[in-house]
Amino acid sequence: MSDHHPSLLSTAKRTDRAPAEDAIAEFVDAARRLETAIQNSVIGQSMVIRQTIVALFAGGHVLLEGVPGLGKTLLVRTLADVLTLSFSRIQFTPDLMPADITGTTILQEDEEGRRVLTFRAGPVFAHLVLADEVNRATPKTQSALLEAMQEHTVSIGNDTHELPLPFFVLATQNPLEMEGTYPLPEAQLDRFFFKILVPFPGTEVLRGIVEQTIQPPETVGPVLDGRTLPSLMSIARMVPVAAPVVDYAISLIQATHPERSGQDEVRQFVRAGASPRGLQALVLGSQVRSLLEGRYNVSVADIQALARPALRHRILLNFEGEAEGISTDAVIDSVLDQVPVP
Amino acid sequence: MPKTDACDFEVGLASARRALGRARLQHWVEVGGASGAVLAALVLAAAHARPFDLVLPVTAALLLVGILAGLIAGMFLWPASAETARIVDRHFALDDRMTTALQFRSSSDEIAKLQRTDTELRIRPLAIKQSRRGQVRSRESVFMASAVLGFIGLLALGGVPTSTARASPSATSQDQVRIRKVAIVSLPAIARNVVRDSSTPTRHDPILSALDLRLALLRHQLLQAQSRGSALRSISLTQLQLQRLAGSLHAVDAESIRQLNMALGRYAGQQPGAIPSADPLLTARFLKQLANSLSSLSAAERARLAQTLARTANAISDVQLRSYLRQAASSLAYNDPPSASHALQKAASFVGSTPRARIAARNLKAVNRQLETLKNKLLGTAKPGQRSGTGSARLGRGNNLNSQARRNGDKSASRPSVPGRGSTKGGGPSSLDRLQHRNLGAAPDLAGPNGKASAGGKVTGLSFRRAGEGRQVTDISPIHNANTNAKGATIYVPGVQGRGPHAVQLGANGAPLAGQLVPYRQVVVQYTRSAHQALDRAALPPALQSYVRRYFDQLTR
Repeated sequence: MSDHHPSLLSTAKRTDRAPAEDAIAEFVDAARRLETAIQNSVIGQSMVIRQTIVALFAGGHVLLEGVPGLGKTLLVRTLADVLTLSFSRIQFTPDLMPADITGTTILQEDEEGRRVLTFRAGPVFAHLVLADEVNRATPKTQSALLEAMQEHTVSIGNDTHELPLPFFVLATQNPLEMEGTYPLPEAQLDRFFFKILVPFPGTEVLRGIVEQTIQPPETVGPVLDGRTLPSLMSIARMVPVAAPVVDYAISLIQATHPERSGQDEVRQFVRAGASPRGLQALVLGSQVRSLLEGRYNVSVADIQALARPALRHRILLNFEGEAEGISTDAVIDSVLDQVPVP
Repeated sequence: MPKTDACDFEVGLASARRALGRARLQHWVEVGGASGAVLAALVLAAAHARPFDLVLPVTAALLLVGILAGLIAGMFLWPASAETARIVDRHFALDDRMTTALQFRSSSDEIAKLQRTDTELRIRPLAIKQSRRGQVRSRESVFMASAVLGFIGLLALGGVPTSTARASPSATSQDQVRIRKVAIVSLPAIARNVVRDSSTPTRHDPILSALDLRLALLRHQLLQAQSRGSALRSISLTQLQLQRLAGSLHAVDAESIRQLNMALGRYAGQQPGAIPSADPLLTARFLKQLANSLSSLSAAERARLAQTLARTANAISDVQLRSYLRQAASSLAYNDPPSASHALQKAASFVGSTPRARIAARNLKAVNRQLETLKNKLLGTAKPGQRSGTGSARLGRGNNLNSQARRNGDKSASRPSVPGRGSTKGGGPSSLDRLQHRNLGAAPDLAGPNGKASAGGKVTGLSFRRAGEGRQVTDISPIHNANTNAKGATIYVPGVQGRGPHAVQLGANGAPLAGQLVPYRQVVVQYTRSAHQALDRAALPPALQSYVRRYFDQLTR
């Protein structure tokens, strides 16, 4: 992802500080500007915003889950506004077709009047794609996002079309509405970097929402050139991760697997544990978080802080777990309690 | 932000590592010391219940081993740099900065350098050595201190028990010194003197070996003794054992050997004194030669030899030798040279062992005297030969000396008994002396206060006191005096062969037929033999037995 843009280190301003320090400072500044700008539109939900930005800077896709009206779509739209990146919104409905996402080939007359097949790009061809209520579409339509999210390409017929970079998919889904919904398959869920639960806001947040609502809306302008995102992502990937921290992350992943875990909750309620993508999400997200926390190294605290968003959608409960109403967050908390910190 | 040396953090890490290592070392030394102290205290407590030697060295060794083991464990568990970094990170909540900086200390990556710099800045104001806190827990220090204090307290209050019995309240340090001096100095000197005074052959004497063993055992007992009383008891017990040992010895007295030599000389037709009367070895040799020559003797010569042996047996006082001679005489009278030869061989062996027995008895007597002296030393009365009434070995009624005399079969000599009640008064000879004097026929007077020694070496006019009775019995020796023509005394009338006719008819077995007239000499020999056999079986007073034997011996002359 960082190949298309020069390293931020090389373009860092010449100061008395080291170039790396300048680059990191710019990284942190960019993230904070984004965060501030989004928080101006989305009252409360600071943790959601922080995790979204972490995923963004880590180069991952995000699945936002929450009841309607919590600002999921607003958050994504605001994100798109503050980033000078192209944005498209896809409203997933049961009758949505894959071609509605990826685009299709149409027959069109050219200037000379000849009828030619022309590829008409779908809404997925944007830097930032909002897949709203993604669980309302059919699995066939959902799978149309699969290739795009993983490969950053779209194959139509014999042609493969590359998606613009950076490419982010921010999907939303409603956990309450079950009728007429199609739960995302595990393979597609695994493609999402983070699954962020949007909680219902508290009293103070609601009051803030009311105050904002009764005031004239403020327009949010761009605060960050989206083209610098690849450079920023490369900076984050340079943050060193010590071996004990890596071992700790690996231990967490292994502890989510019932055949490898020594915990009763996992063995009893989990059908399948987190994949290696979950480990990647943990480490990459921790690198970004460490910079945002003002450190130059990944710590165990970073891993622990991002364990829920990175793993909750990757742990599959068995029938007993679902019947008992066990949440994956509870399983993750149990794993965090049991796995010793190095 | 000023640039700093990227390796400065390693200096802080090294400092933390040293502090942590020392703390861990202290922790393990405390654990080891506490464990050793607990074990030592347990051993010390067990020693009070069941004492054994080397308690103090064992407990001290346990304590030292515990400390040493803790020291070794602490050194073995000296923390590595990575472990130190983890501990520092946790202690100061550095979010794994130190760990990351250590792992990427040689990385040239910009951010890695930045991270090291950031780490060094973070730890600079910290008291990095404080990360050792938590390695040594106060409760472990308290535990160790308690264990060591408990051990010391047990040692101070209970003392160091040993395998010997606790010292009696009456034991004094002076007694201990005396006892130890006796055990360490006097007893070994006694043993050395015995070996030095012995000739080479007797060094291998089993009696001397037994004596040496008993002295060694006595030394061990004295070293273990905690009181004067137990030391004296040990010495008295050893004396008793030596008396028994002496009692097992048997040396033929010189007078018996002299009588035997004279008789054998007369038989051999030699001049009186041809056989040295003082050398039992020569006597033994002559007896062996005689035993080997029996088969070549004629019947008359055997008969004459039988008479000689019979007379000699009656003349000597040694019971065992007398028995051998009588067996030989009887066998010859029965025309059984092999049996007679066997008896003479036994007599020769018996006489030949006399010198060794005399030497062993002398040594035992000397040792016994010296043990008596040691007892006096322990009692603080330095006069040798005196016997103290306190703690001395009491021989009791029917004392050992008398019982030994009975075992030895000495039925002729009467001797003063060792008093069964109380101790002797004055400086009389010891019981061992009396026993040996009786056997060896030595010059010292065995008679006691009322006895007289005869000029010929025979003891006459003996008076003896039966143990526990206090009744004095007068000597009956005048009865045996053949020269005494006194009223009521038995007069010897030698038999004379009559002039009447005689005829002997022998039966199928060679014995005279019933009703036949048998020559006097043949009859008297038979009757003499029968009488001797009856006497050997009968439980008659020794004086009466001797009387009957002499009668028949004189008849056969």
